[in-house]
Amino acid sequence: MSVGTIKAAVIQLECKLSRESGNMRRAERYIKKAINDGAKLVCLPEAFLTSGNILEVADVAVTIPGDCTDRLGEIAKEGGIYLVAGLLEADNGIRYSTSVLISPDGSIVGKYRRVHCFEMERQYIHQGDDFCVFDTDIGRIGLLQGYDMNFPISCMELYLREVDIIVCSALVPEEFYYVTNQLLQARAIESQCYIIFVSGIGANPYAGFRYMGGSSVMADPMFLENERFDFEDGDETMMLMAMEEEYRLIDLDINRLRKYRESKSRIGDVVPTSYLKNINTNLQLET
Amino acid sequence: MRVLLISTNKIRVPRPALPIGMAYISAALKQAGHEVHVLDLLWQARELKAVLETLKGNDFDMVGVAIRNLDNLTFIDPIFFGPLTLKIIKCVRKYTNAKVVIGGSGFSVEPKPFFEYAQPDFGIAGEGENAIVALADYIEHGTGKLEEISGLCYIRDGKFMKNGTFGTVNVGLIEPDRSIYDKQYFVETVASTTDLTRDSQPAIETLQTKRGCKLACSYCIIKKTEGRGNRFKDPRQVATEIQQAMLDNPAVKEFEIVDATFNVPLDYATEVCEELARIKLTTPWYCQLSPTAINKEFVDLLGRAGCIRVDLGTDAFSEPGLEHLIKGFDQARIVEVDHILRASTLEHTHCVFVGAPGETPKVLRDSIEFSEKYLRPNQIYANLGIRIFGNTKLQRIAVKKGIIKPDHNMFLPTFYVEPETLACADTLNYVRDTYLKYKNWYLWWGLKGQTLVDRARETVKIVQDMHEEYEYMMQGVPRLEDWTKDPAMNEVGKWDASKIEIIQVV
Repeated sequence: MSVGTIKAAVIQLECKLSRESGNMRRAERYIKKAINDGAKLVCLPEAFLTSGNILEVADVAVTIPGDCTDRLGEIAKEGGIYLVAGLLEADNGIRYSTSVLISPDGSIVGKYRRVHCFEMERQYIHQGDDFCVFDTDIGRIGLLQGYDMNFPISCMELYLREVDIIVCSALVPEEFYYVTNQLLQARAIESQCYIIFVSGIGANPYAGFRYMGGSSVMADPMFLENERFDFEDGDETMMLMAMEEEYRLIDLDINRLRKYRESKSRIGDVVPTSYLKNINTNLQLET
Repeated sequence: MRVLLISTNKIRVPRPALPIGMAYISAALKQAGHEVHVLDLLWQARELKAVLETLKGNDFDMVGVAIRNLDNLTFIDPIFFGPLTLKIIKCVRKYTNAKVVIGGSGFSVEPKPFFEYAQPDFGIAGEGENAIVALADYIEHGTGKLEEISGLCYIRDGKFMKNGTFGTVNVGLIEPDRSIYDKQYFVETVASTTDLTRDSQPAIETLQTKRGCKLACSYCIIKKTEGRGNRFKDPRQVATEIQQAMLDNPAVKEFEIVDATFNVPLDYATEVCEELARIKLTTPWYCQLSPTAINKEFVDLLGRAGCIRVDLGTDAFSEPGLEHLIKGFDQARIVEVDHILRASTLEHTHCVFVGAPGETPKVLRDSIEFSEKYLRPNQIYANLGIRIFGNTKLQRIAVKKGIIKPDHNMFLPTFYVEPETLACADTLNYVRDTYLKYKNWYLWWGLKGQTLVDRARETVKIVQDMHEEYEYMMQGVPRLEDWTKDPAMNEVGKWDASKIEIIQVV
């Protein structure tokens, strides 16, 4: 399917603990502004509604579908947009950190439950067990969340499914700002796709840190250098926000990306059957 | 005037070619009092970054972009250099106010579509030494007339204008500015994969003894780049130039005469060789020869003059191929020349196209058997297919055969491979097997790993992609009409700087 250039909106939202209605209200305001500006894809951070309220996840997690996704669906339908939002999800007593993709008809296209959770998190939320890529009329969209970026295999899974845009909703502590940006650049090169890293900002008073902000859009520099006559080193970070609440739009040319990936693809060189074999064995031996 | 010359050549096979064209332009500009800087992209892994850095650190009035080749002329492994040129020009436009001038043989072969595509301020088709100096004067002082500059391409009254090429460059008065050559050209390297006769490649210098060619090969574009008639350097000047170049650069161990065909006309080549023999030149050298004008006496003279190897423009081993390529000799002549050279001290290579017009499967097989049976060169260097350029007899043959349409854009890589042969897997397999059988026969570096059938299928797709990419890049770009001499249509004779219309790159 030919896609062409789409406008993607990145909403770097201040996600405040115990301020769900305020978070939703501000998110709505930005989404509507993005719609007015011609966005076709709008992205919200991880756990945008509740912030990273892991300790109280049993109380704040929402069902999917549920009230929140219903409201997001209404807005998406009104604006004719695809919408990605991170939510703490409750499903029959089990909680996940989930990203949901909502279509322009208001329905849920699919959701991704974060696979990688760090040790402390796992006391409160479960790990997902599948990576997802969704075919849409604006390109093939894959969903990840911030912590997944530490694991190259997350992006590799999506790359093998020829993902065009990875939307990575994130709430990453500030101390990881530098390495996260390094990881994003590497993942964009590995995955030969656009990565929209949409981060929340604000403080987590329980844990005593701030979230990093620094939402960004990355692409493979080889692709961009191919496309542009004035590419300079560093331009692979196509957009980078500071640590303030804001929203920005960016044009993503999906057809050109696909053409590049088709000609320079490494997918045929991947050897999944050789990966992690020994690691799995070792883990089993250890346990 | 501060001038930046950018050499865009990226071809390293069979060895990195010294940018002699740019060196001639540099010499002409320096002689006229201009300050010349050069950037040779052959040695830059990231070309645009290098251009950007050069532009940011300087303030140039004119940027000359030298195009040696439009593409690598290789059907089996095609690379199109147009996009790189376009990016460079856009980059220059963005970061400087310099006037952009493109030239070189790659531009000269298809000036109008290249101009339309790359949108420079000016283009110079054909020899550029006099034209670039006249243009620099015009830009700097407003002196002279644009319509009097040889081969100049520009926008006149909103239309594309290409002046005639006057062929007035006096080859006796010009020498390339060898100071612009990057030192990396002069490092001994491992011999190219295409060179099966030696293991290492010493540093070389190059020189031209003449401009133009009187042969009429059906695919050739030299009349567009150098003109049809011959203009010669005095043989004594040739000898002096070589001696001086060797003296100036002790790293140089060999040199190459880069005339398209050194031995035509034979009497001039003989004079040059006699002069080189007279001065007892000790530097080994090589050149390209046409089989039309080779005899034992000349080959002996070549040896005495220091020549150690010759590349023969044999072009085809079949009679129909030779006929369609208008080579002016036949198979018997090839055998005769092969015998003469075999008996000499000179190494010789037959350079041929496989799949030339008329080389149907049967004809091609017969021609390969012919070469196996009768020829004993040091090497056979073959290319599958021939690049077709506009306004050549080969283009007309290709149109007649239905390979291309009459309005096909020859700016983009387009090749002649005899259709019946290209469609015949047995023949392609036979060609591959034969070229793999002989250690001194070369067709393509990847031949061992892939069948020609598969490779041909891939390259057809690659070329098709190049054409699609061109269409993408040309979206919204105005197509140029030719300027007409009708005075009612154009205002003629009033020339000043404001008359120069520059297409703005969006």
